[in-house]
Amino acid sequence: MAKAKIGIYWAAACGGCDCALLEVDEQILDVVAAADILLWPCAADPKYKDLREYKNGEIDIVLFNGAIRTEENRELARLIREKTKYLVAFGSCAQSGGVIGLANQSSKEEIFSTVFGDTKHWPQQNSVADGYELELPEFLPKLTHLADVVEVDYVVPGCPPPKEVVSELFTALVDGNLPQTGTVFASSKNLCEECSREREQKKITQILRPHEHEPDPEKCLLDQGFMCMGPATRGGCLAVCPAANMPCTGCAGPTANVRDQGAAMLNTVASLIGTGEEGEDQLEAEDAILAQFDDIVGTFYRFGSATSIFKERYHEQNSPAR
Amino acid sequence: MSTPRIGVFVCHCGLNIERTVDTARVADALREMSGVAYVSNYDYMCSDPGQQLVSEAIRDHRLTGVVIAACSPAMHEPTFRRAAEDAGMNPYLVEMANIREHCSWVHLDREQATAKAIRIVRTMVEKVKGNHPLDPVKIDHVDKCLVIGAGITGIQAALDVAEAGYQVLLVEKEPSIGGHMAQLSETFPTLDCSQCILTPKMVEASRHPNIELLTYSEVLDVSGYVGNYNVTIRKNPTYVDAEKCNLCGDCEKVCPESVPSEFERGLTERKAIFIPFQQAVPSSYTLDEGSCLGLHPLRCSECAKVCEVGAIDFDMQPEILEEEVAAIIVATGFDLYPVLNLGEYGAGDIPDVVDGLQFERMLSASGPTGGHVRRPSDGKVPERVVFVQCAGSRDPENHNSYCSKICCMYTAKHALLYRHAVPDAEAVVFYIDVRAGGKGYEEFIQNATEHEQIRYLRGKVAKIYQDGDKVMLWGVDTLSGQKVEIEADLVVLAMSMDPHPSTEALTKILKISCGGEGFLKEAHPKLRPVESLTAGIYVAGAGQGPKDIPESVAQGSGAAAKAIALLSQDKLSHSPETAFIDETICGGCGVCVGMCPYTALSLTASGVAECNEVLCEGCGTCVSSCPTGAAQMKNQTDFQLREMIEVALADG
Repeated sequence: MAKAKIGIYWAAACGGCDCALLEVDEQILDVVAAADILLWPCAADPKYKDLREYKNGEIDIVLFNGAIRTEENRELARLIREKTKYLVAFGSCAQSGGVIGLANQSSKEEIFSTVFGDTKHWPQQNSVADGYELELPEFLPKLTHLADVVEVDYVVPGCPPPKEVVSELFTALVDGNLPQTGTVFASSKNLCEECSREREQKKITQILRPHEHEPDPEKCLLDQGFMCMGPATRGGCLAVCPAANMPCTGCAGPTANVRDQGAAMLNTVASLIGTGEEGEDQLEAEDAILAQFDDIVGTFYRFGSATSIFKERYHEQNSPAR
Repeated sequence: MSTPRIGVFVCHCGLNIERTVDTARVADALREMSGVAYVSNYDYMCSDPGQQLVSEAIRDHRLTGVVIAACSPAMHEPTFRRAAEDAGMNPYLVEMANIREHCSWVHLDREQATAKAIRIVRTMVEKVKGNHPLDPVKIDHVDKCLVIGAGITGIQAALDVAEAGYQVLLVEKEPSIGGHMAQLSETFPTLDCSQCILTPKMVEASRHPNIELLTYSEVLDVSGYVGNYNVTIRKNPTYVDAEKCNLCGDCEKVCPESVPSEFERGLTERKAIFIPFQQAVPSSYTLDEGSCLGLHPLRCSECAKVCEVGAIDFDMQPEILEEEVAAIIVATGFDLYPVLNLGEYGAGDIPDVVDGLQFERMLSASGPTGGHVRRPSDGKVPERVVFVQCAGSRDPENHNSYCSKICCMYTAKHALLYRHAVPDAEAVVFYIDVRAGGKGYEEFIQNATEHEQIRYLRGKVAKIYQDGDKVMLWGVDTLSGQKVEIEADLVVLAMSMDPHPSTEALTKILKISCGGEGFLKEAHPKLRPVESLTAGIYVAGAGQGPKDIPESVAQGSGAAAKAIALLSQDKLSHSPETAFIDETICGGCGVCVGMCPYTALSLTASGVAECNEVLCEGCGTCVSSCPTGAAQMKNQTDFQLREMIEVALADG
């Protein structure tokens, strides 16, 4: 049997997904034995020229991590789609825009001034360096995710994907036994299923943040007031964050029935917030609990803001952007 | 799934819809929609020929779903679901698109209303495409009915259900049944003696083989569902063995402790061991723990010492009873608005300012004055009594905003009975309006004003205060515009009616709701006046809103009829439009379990949520709280809703 041809590509990404591939330890040797890696910018030095020269569909599978931030990301996504049989959205950024999707809350000008300040020493479009005229890829008006640009066959969620699901993907790959397209390599159920904490069905009476309070390691984080995204997040990672006393941040995205992870969790939290008493006189007390929220978008949409139903931030006229 | 073949039936509702919505254009637009196999429009779809149109089209065009574009589903959904069933279609494949209440009735612009109607109907077609055939849930039930509150309403309800052959548990908080009606002297407009018409019913209720009477008892907890409610009742100890007590009254004579009598509304006192009134049912003494010196032979055992039959038992314990009932009738009744809230009328500090029920006791032959009207301060016969209507009613800024309904009539009765009792006396009534809607009511008022020389002054009393041994009233006669100052020997306040203070706590136990004023809320103010929104729980009497005796009795019978209709069914039917849990997605976070107001959801041993469809009322609370989308409504899934939104917002 001919060796499988695989590719690994990063678009707008932090590099964590590439590292995550190596978390499978020696299993990576099985992968290398079973497949030729034709593309892996992080580890090898193939040129785009080489990629263009492959026949359409010549590569068997490409694991694509990172979001679509620039024209270059978009172009490569389209090119890779042509060259590969199966395209995998690998990691939260490829799946749903990821953390960097939060940049959509700011304008391009705000982003550039935050990142570069007033320095003049960053490359400008059409500037000349070492005798070459620079052609910089366009910074797209909005960050999007892979499926927004091309068709995606599999999703491996996570920031970065946990080694259990990476291993599952590699096993399927090495065995030549890929599942039905559309498969998400994670649990179909939410994280609570894998979490060993005790939930007492309590009302949320206060909002706590993990850097300010030490959670009780046995009890449900949500019960305690920590905004654990676990209920609205696919399992598959074996609930490693809650096990380490950190609330789930929601990196694996929502379950199959949910269109908007943040909205689903907000609904849940809205249902749970309360003083435990009923009556109209409780409304003020509930408002006081709600006022304890800091950064609602960053909490509930940390990985999904770019694919949320609420795509953009609404700037009220004359009100200063917070 | 095979291609949908949806039938759309657009109703004109006479001109109700047609005036504002061009139904022909709605029909034309729907013909273009994918999945629509048949469209028709007609004057009155709900008429027999209209229903026939639907049935025939289902057969002739092999329809897989039906949308009736007409009125609210609350009106005719059952009509068309039955019509579809007759034609062999599962009724849950029929939906109403409300283009009347939600469209034609609330818009004026025909063009825009028509465009909106088209969107509404398309949206419902999209919904029906995702509907599945469902079968009603069948439930076994027990054959017993619980009636809470044994005033005249509860007694009537209990007797009606018992007469139909079903077991009744009649629970009353007080030591005797009878409620407020037992306190009244005569009843308007016929002036028959209240106790004379009430006590036969009390006796009947206590003797009826199908009625189990639980007085001095409270409902602590209710769980379960229609047909099978589990009720926990606490029977408080009376410390007197009713079987042994021979009503000799020796205990009462020797009891050293006296407190204001609740039944006489504080006009006189009762002992710690007492019988509320002579005709009390059950006819037995009650030792009130709150006012007794201590329920212990070492503290005081005077009553036990003199009781020849040994009926007093200081060791009696509260009994906790667990009962299963199919239906519950809530007849908790009313209480008077607290006079303490009426600072402008002396807040209860002026002895000769009494409330209507106190005056009833003064008029009553069994009352503390033996039916002679004497004022509380000095026992003199009052020569001028001023009656103040709407005390605490119809005053949205300070007190209750609503009309207490019965006060106009009982004030006229009070004035008339007072005039009869003290022939030379003067009766003055302050009123805002006289509301006398009811059989013989207006005639009663006319008689009071014309033949009984009762002076009616239109206006509200601003202030009441003590002046020497008289009571002064300041007010305005709004007909003459004159300021009025009247000196009275006795003032009677026609106090506003409040729901009984126990109502709110009880509604939480029963999981039924109260309206803004705290009265029990009915399922529909006109068409379902004695039903709560929870199946198998009915409301009746003054606990549902101010009402007089005939209305209370009618509601008691009405609620009983509803309960009998339920009890007489072999098996109960429950709507299958309930929540369900997708087990492949549910991770068992349990959020829904805590949210469900009907305790329909629980976590199974395998760690996923499970919906008991018998308990589920289809409210959807679990669906909106579920973070995974595992909880869904049958025939109203998130998927369906998303498709519906897409269609509702689509261009054109």
